[in-house]
Amino acid sequence: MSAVTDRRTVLLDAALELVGTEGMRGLTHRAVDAAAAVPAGSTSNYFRTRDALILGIVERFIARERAMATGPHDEVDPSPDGVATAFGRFAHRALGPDRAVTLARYAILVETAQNPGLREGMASGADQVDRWTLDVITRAGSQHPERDLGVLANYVTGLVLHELALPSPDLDAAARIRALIDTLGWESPSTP
Amino acid sequence: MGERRSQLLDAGLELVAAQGMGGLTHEAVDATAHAPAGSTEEWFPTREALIEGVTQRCIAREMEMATGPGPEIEASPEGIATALGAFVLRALGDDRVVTLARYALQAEAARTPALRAFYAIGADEVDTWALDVVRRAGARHPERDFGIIANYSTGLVFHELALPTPEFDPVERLRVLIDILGWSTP
Repeated sequence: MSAVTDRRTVLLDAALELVGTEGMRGLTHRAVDAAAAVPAGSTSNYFRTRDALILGIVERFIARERAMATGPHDEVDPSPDGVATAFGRFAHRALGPDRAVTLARYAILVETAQNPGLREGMASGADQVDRWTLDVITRAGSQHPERDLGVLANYVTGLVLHELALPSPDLDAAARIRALIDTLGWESPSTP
Repeated sequence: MGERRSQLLDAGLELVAAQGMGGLTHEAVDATAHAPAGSTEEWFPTREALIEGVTQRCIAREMEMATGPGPEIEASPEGIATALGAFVLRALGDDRVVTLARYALQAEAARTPALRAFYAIGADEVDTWALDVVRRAGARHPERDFGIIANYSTGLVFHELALPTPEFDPVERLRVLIDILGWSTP
């Protein structure tokens, strides 16, 4: 990672944290400078407008969400258990150590609902995540990948949203997702 | 009397939807509801009481969004797909305010554990009612299936709010999901 990308990432992580803790109102170029402990004006150099900053955050949380699902090796075992483990890991991190990413995501989705100009940037990020996930669940044996992606993605989003407000004691997200995958009728791909 | 209370709380929901929790003050609710100054404070003496009232109102409106004006929905796969599909459309359209307020309230509950109790009371009521309908509609694993349908619908509204699908048909999507769950006619 070059020094330039590194600085950009540091700014975006600080911005994510800020939005997660204070909501969109807390998001100003100056507040990001302060949160990232960088010289005043740094954030403006990288992101000229508020919309540019928000799109930068969107791009960053897509990368962070992927890391939350895949762990250190950026890989998911293409099997029902592997997919359940990845989504389960994602849910636990979204509710725990990466809670700021989750709260930022909600704040930005609400902002997108009110500011359709942001949809394009959001949509291309969502497409990227969808393509990658479709590939994994197809290899894991899904017979209707588009349908199953919709079911899984909406389910996991709803689960995190509910658990955020009303945590279940001893939540086993991977087991719940595994139970959902069982209803989807995946078949192990034929092995040569 | 109950009507004035609901008017105030609906105004509170609007404020939370548009401005987040920071916009929810007694004075702002009076002004938005076109009520005499001090009205909101009479009904809800503390900020906590106001948040509790707004949370309960949010849950009551969501329930109404799913059932329509009457309290009953038909306990069949088609009845549930229709009712929840109508809920999803209202959540994205006419009752968008309730949806946006809900996200703000839930995020607040996530940050302030003391507020969770209000949500838990309302949530329990809705859960008991919904579980019964799902069971009567033929679910063989009512707890599991209710969890799947509820989380799915929440996620669906959330995604569609930000990135709307052209010609979105939530009733059909819910029909497909219920079909996957393999309910049998009781």
